[in-house]
Amino acid sequence: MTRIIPRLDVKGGNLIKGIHLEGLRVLGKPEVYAQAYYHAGADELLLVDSVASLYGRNGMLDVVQRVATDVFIPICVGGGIRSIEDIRQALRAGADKVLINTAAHRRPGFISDAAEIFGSSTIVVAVEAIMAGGSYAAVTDNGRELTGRAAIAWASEAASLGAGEIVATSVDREGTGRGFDRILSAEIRAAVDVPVVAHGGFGRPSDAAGMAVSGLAIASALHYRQAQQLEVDPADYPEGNVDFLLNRRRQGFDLVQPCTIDDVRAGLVDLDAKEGTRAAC
Amino acid sequence: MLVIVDYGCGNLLSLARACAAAEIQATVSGAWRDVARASALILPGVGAFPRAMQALIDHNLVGPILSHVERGKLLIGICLGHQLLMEQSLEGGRPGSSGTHGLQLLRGGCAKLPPIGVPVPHVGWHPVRPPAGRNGADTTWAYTPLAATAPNERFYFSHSYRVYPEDPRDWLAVTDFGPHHNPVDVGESSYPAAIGRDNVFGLQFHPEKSAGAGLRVFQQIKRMMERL
Repeated sequence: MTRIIPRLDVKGGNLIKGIHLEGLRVLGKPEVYAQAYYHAGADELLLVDSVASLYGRNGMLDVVQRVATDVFIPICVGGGIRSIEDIRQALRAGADKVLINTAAHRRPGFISDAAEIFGSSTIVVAVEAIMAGGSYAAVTDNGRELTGRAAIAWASEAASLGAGEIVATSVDREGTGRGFDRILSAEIRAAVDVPVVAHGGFGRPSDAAGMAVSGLAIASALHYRQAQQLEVDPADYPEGNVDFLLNRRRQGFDLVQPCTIDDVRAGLVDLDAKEGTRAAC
Repeated sequence: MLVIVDYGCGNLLSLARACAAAEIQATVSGAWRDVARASALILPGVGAFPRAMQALIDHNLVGPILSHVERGKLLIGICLGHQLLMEQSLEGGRPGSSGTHGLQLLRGGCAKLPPIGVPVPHVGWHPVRPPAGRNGADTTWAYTPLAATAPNERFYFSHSYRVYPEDPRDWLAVTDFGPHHNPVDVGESSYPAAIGRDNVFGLQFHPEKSAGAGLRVFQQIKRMMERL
């Protein structure tokens, strides 16, 4: 069965979401969401440090430790993982696997070095893709930096270097709620023998139907649903844009349909939606 | 005191937390003296078989582990640790070689999951059931770490190799993967999810990452410690 993997982007100890033209919106504490998702039946958690390159990572390790407490499902941690020591620290803090992107582009051998030491299943490579000139280009830094590499070929190279999994992100679709980029997922799946997790664009449960990948990484749709059930004390959020959090009951959700993990699971097996192909593992 | 063997191969924090949640008195240690004195052992493992065996040898842990088992004390191998219980693995070997020796506690070997159109490593949650043609779960799983597990409960797997136990009595549980499930356990789409008997057991899945189903396995391990 396809894994359902809530993706939590973290900045300054807060769960955040990037909003077009608004900047970053604080949604709450990642460890609170993580506990809720664990109890709601999430298969795995993906925790990403969204500003790793700018502020250093000590705060993030604390977040990993808090998230990992009392959560007995796999946790993948990414964002600024640049060295063997970074991986070791993430694992020591409670991560079960790490997600790498920029560091692998800079030195592809990092993938094989890391896989050799920690095992392939611990090393997940993030392939972030944008459509450029008719084909998928691999990018880093949330789509801000072109790497000069074709995304599909890069995925293939990463897998042969020892990546245990690929998380394929459509940067074009991310945050839009327009559905996954199925062509990107299909092309990456065809190019590698390792499990592929699709990310970017999930907007409603029917978007999961027929996604024949190993996992679906989902953020907004799950977080907005979860936010509706949160108790919020503004004193917990000394920094960041907390307007959304404080006023959320009055917010509309134009782009995504807030849903639960069970809703996504139902969408996954809904044979009436999309092509009716059963999601393979 | 249960000792989670630390030989540099694996993330042990989750295991320590799961033991704590099940109220098992446990410690993480790579010191052979601690392993020799343990009342029960968990042998974890992530990564490559040959490197893991070499690490066990370098840490002087093979002898204490084998004596521990000989004295009838509980040993549970998890993921790579479950594969290390076998006689050998073909992992990392040159073509035609007989591979690397394991702890040789159970007869049979290990080899890579066959390419049947399912991505490898095999990553995800899969149901675990007693082997076909055997007695049901109640009988097959009694006195094993799966005694508190219901058939077809899902556990989290993440691995590229599987075990091939030669003695049918060592097959405790199987899991099916791929779109073509094979209910009679021959062929390549089913493989052992749990092996062992008496005081030596192996779990291919990660009970420490398998939510409630996994925590129940730890509770069962605690019960077994009280009995052995």
